[in-house]
Amino acid sequence: MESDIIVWETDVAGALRRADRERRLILADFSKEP
Amino acid sequence: MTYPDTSVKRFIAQHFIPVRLLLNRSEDQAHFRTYRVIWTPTIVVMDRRGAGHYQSPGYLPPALFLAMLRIGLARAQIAWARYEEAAAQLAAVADERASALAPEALYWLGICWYLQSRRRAPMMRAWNRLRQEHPDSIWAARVPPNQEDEPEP
Repeated sequence: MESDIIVWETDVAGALRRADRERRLILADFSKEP
Repeated sequence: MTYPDTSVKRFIAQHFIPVRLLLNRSEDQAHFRTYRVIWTPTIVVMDRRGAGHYQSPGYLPPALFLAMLRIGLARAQIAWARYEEAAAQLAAVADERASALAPEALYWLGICWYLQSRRRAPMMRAWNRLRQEHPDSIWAARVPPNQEDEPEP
């Protein structure tokens, strides 16, 4: 079943490594706490 | 809400690693400076080396958010010379003629076709459509005036 929530990474270095491994782009949401 | 939208979620899962950076988290502030982000929310499409390819400030409703993601993805694909994939994303946005992002998609589609073929005629096909369908858009204004169409072979 498809999740209703996007799991956001919080560590850029880790996300870059994952993007490299999975050959995908990064979608960075620059935001602030509500 | 934009992110719970099924088509947005699916597109993100298919093409991107999603990262959220928070202005009020001290360890994230350097990234705001690196990518020159001065307003929240801002979306940045970056590659695995951290190079930014596309930036979109502010909120967008789901249909426009998805179109923005397609354009951002296409911009990175153009930079990597993956022209067929980029053109497919841009055409999908351009074909939603009522979309506010259709003019931008047609502009980049013209550039994509030019870079792929090194010929002006394919570019002018997209740009003529841009001028016909969205004559008052800022993207039509970016097309140089008095462009002569190269005759089709």
